[in-house]
Amino acid sequence: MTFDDPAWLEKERQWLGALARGDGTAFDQVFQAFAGPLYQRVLLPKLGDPAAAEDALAETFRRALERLPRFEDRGKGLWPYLATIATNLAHDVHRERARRGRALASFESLLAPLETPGPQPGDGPDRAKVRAAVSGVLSALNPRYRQAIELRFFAEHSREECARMLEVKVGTFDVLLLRALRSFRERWQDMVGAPPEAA
Amino acid sequence: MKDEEPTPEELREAEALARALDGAPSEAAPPPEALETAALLRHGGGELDPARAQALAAKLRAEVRPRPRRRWWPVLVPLALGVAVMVILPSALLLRSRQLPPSIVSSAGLPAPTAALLTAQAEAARGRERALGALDAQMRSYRRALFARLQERGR
Repeated sequence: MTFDDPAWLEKERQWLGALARGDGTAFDQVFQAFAGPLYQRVLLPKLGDPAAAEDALAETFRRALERLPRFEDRGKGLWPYLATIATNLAHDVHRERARRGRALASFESLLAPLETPGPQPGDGPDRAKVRAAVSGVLSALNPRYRQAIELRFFAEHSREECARMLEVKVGTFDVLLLRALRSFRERWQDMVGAPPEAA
Repeated sequence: MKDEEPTPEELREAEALARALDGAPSEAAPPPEALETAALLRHGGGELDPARAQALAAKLRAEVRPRPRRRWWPVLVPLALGVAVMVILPSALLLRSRQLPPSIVSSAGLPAPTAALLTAQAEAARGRERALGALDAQMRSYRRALFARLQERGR
């Protein structure tokens, strides 16, 4: 069932009615249905940072609740409404972070080729797809680049530990990781698809 | 595999990237495409942690409050009563004064308020600003009549 399914939309209408009466259970149901997809499909890819995405998720629901009395259901339900609020918030966060010299890196464009139309209630199935794509690209990389990426991002070692394990200087590891990331990106674009702006 | 010697530019980028990945400020901007790729590798397909989601939901749930129903009667009823009193009382007095025989009015010794004065009072009581000027004029006129009558009685 997708968020635009008539049966789903009817369920949403009931939740909205209950929410208007201040029913906390209805809020739980809305949160349970939309928090995962908003985080996974909108906020995390746009912000590239779990903490920032969580903050934005909380703010999305807060704003949505505040504006709920003015919400007009035009037959499309809550998903476009919530996704729009989340997207606008993500833009605000980017602007604010950039102003403070702490820019965030979005990976939304890299995920775009994997995007499936019509998100679903609960967590979407994209996680497995993303992991499979990452795994496929990694296996096509030069083994040394793959090792650098795995140590730094999956085993989450510090750069000093990674350098020691690879028996290189820290500065050399930094260059190795930069090259590994560039190589990964190229392979990703070849194997998964180019980001919209690069296509 | 033998690594090629990095260029000075590449060294700068690699250092800026390393600092950015550690969340440390850097003088040089890290290469954005490498940062995006790193973010994909770190968090691509990441899900909302169930424990964090639960905590977040509990916090937000506390902010869900029933919207108070708008009850108009506590405001409207006293307002309507007030308006009714302001309108009906002067009208009743006016009617009464009209119904009284002239002899009774004159026996009181004081001039009866005119219909225009009572109307001006009613209008002013309704809160109409323009009515204040009319009321003032009517009151002056009434006071003049009152003082004249008192003077007559004093002679």
